[in-house]
Amino acid sequence: MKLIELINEKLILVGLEERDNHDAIKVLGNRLLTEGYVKDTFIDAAIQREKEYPTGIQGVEINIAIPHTENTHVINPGVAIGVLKEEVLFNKMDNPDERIKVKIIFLLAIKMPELHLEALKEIMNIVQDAEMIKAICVGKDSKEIINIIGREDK
Amino acid sequence: MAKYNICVVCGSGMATSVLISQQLKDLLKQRNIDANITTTKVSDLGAVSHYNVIVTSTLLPNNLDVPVIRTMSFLTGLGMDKDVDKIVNILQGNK
Repeated sequence: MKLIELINEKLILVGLEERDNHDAIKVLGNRLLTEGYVKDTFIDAAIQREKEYPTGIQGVEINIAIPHTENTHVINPGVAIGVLKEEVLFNKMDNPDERIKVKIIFLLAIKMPELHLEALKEIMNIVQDAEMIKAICVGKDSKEIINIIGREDK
Repeated sequence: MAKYNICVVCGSGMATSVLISQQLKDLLKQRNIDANITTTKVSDLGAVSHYNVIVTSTLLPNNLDVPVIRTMSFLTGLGMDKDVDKIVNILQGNK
């Protein structure tokens, strides 16, 4: 499945004002919950997992995080995307003692990892694509961000 | 042809390890290396002695008896070739 198939306008939150990574995960997780993608256990599980195995990923200029948790908490696969007004600190995946400022959070509700490889790869490509990631950061609303991601998919 | 066992580990076994294993599989195939790649999460790692090498994107307990390659390259694409070199060297026993 492509990334575009796992997102929709309601799953994209622009201008998030949370100042803490766990709060940001909560807000995005709540959106997945109200839209029926995850069970109510998902948010706590994702935060717990983030504490144990952080997901901050260093980009070229802009860093992202990809919090996620076990599929037992997931009903339907989806990705909630949050663009933060001001970056929040995440611990780095490959070096948990180090903290990086993250601008975009992709909260992954994954059901069957093999099916979502394509989408994951796309997210990794976005991290490397300075132009695209900047476009997402300045995107005015979820519609605009969907267009940016959808464009890449064609 | 020698058959190797590689384990790819991440925090949840859901996302990054699966992506890493797919990239690694393709890259090893290109080099004609026949390897069995399994994915797991850290808490399910268990006994490791049958693996030739462990590849991970996260921090693992450091008392493992098997060489560990910790890298983001198979996720981000940066520096993949170098890491494949390292893995091949370990597999072929010429560290």
